[in-house]
Amino acid sequence: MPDAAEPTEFERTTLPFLPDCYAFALSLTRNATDAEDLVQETFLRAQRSFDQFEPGTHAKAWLFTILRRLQIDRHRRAKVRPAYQPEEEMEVLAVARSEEPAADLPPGVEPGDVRAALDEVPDPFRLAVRLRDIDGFPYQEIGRILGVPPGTVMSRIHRGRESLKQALVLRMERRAAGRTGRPRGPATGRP
Amino acid sequence: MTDWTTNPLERARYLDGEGAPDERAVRAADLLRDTAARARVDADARFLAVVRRAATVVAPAPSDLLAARVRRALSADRAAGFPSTGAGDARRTRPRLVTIAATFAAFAVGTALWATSGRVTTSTAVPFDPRLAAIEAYRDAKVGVLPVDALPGGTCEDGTSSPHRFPLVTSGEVSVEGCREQDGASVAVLRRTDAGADASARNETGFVVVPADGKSAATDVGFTRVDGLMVFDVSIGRAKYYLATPYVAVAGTPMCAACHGPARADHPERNPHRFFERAPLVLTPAPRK
Repeated sequence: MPDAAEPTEFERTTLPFLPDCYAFALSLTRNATDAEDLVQETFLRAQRSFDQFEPGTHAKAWLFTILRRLQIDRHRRAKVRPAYQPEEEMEVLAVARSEEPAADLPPGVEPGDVRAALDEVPDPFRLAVRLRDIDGFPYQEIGRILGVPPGTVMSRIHRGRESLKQALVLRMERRAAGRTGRPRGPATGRP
Repeated sequence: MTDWTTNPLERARYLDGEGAPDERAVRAADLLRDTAARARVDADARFLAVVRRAATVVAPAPSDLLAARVRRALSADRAAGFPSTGAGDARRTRPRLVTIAATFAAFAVGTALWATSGRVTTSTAVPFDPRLAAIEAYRDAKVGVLPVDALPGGTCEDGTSSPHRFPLVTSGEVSVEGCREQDGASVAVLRRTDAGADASARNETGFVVVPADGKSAATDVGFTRVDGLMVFDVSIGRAKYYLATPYVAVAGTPMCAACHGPARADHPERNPHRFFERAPLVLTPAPRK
C-alpha cells in the first residue's frame, strides 16, 4: 500500500491532465458542477482500469475516452437523446457544402471570439473541432474518444469548422454593427 | 493531379497532417505546380490558423479544490480495495483474481466432499481445556497482562463458576486480580494476600473455575506437570478449580503450599488433601475468545 502522501503511478500519469479533463468535461456538460463530478468519476474509473492503459500511449486521450463514455452513460441513464442529426445526414450536409469556395474571415477575429463562437456549434461537430484544433488530437484518437470511425471524424471536423466559420462571421458582423450603430440585417452566415 | 484540393475534407486532411508520408509528399508537389489548388488550400490554412490561436486562450480552470477532491476520492477508492499502484495494477489484480478463484475452487471441492460423504461434518475447534487456560492466565499475568473482560453479572461475578466463591478467596488468603469469562468458565489470576509472604511466594496463580457436577471432593487434589508448571485441580461443591503455579513454588514443600502459602507449609499436619498426579498434558495453545 503506497504512502497516502506519495502519489501513485496512476496519479503521476494522469493528474497532470486534470485541467484538460475539466475543460473537456465542461465542453460536454456546459456546467461547472457537472463537469467536476464527471472529472472525479473519470479518474475513479480510470484508476480501476489502469491495468488496461498501455504505458507510452496518450494518457490524455485515454482519459478523454473514459470521460466521454461516462458522459454517454449519464445521458442514457437520464434518457436524454442527443440533439444532433444522424450520421448519414451529416455526411450529406458536408458533401453539399464541399463545392463552396473557401472564404477568409473578416479581420479582427480574436482567440476569445473563436472560443465563444465554438460554443454555438452543435455538440458532435464542436467536440470534433475542439479535439482537433484545441487539444491537437489526430483523427484516429478523436475517433477513439468519440467512438466513431475516421470517416465520420473527418466529416464532423469539416462540418464543425464550417459552422464555426458561420458563427464567427455572424459575431463579427454584430460587432461591426454595434460600432457603427447600424441595425443588423439578416445574417446569411456568408460574407 | 490536384483534384483532391476541390474536396474540403481532403484539404482538411492534408492541413491536419493526416495521411502517409508518401501521400503527403505527392500532395505537396501538387500544390507547387497548381496555383489554383494552392489558393484553395491556403484559404483553409488561414482559417485554421485563426481557429488554432484559440488554443492559446487560457482554458476555463477547475476549482482549486477539484484536484484535492479527486485525490481524496482516489485514495478512498484504493482503501476500499480497488487497484492503486498504477503500473502494478495489473499485477495486483491478477493475484487477487487467482485468490478468488482458488477460494472458490476450495469451497467447491469442500462442498462436493461434504455432499458425497454422507456424513455431517463436526467442528474441528479445539475444546476448551481449563488446565491450558490456567497456564495461559499465569503466563499472561507474569508479563503483566491480566484478564479484564468480565461482564457485570457474568461468571466472574456471580454463579457457581465465580472465582469469588473459591474458599481461599472468601477466607481472604488470596485475591482475584482479574477475571474474564470463557465458555461458561471464569479465567482469573489470583495473588496471595498474606503480608508476610516474600516476593517469590507472591507468584501469581493462573486460576480457572468451571461448573462441576456437585460431587465435592476437596480432599483429593490432582496435579499435572506441564513445562515447569504445576496445574492443580480440585472439585468443591458445584465448581471445579484449576490453579497453575510454577513448580519452584512448591518444590520441597507440602503441595498445599501452592495455594495456602508458607502458613500451611509450616504445619503439614493441617493438610487435609491427598495429591495424585494426572496423566501428562500435551501442550497446545489454549483457545481464547
